[in-house]
Amino acid sequence: MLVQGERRRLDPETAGDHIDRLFRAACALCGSRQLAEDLVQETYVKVLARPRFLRRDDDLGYLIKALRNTWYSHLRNERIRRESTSSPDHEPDELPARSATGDPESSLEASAVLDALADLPQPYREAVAAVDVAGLSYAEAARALGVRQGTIMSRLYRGREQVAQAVGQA
Amino acid sequence: MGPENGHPEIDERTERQLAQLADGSLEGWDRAELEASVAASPALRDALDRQCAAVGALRGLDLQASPALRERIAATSPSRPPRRRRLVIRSAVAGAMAAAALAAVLIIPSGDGGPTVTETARLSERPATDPVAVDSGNDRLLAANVEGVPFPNWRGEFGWRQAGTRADELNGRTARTVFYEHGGRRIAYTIVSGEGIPAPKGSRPVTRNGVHFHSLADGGRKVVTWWRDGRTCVVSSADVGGHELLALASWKGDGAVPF
Repeated sequence: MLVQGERRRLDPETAGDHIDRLFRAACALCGSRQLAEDLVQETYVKVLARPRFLRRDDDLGYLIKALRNTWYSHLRNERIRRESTSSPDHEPDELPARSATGDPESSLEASAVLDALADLPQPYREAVAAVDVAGLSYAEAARALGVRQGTIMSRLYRGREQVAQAVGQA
Repeated sequence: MGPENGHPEIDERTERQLAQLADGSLEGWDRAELEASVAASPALRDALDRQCAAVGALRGLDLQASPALRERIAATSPSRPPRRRRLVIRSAVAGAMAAAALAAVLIIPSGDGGPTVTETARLSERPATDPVAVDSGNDRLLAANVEGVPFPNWRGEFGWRQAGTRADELNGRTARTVFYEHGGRRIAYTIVSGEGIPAPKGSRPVTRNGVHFHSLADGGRKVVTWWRDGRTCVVSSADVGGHELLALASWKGDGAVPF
């Protein structure tokens, strides 16, 4: 337990305990198991490259925030790549995979949920990924995503609403 | 949600509380009050049912990181050194010695550790000396390898044809380079024998297709380096961008190209 204002170093060994939750959150963000693995690995490489100091006992929240930054970097790079490539035969490879459909390791139900997540507006998807998929509290998710707790709750409500409708129709 | 979605208007405060009620984080008087409202309103009950259905589906997602990903991340994690109390002066002396050793390594990049990645990438400026054929047993590989690590055949998948090979000795290591050409552009792919060479400081870590790479620029040349079966691989080109190099370097040929 940390006293307010105190800083603690992120333990590289225990950081690895969050791989599964980070992986699920990455799947929720990008919709692709393969890309999620890349994002999680890249996140760990960046985070563990140098000592990190946290103000709270919130390792997972910190990692989710880093994962989100990695995801944004990926989207930026893909956008630049698309804009600089005129050849249409490169297009399918450049777009982030939206769906887990076709991935033999994912169940049909998981695929349907990931498809529904992929259709959410980004802010809703991030809130749902942080709270319902990664398991952060509202307060932790608010810190990780840089918004107020009430905003997380509203986005969560609306994101879930859309997921329920999409999964119900699937 | 608004009426445009086919659901009656629910105010934002109630939306937030329904979200909390669905995942069990609403407590006390607020919970009792909302439960009473839900009991009296089919619209709220439907909204709560949808929230609960989504929570169940999302929290029940059966997705686990693969053993391969765990291994790669474990390899990334530095081992925690034993914690011992040291006199500040001893730490300072040790730190100075470590810094001196590091400086020596940086100033003299070649030696027992083999060539640097940058030195290896500069082999791309040299000409091919011998032809290289496609592996007769596997058309996704070339008939050239370093300590059992084969070069890929990119022609079928990407149109890049092999345009020759050369072998060099760099600081006691064998470095074989295969040159690939496509549309007037050229790529050099070098595999270095012996233990893996660390990526240059300042290079950018990036992961593609489950493989961890480092990319950098050396003059006007893009360079990507990574390890395959513990051997250092370096692809470089003055004509090809980093994204395309990464796409080629990470190609596994449906498992035919060992990593």
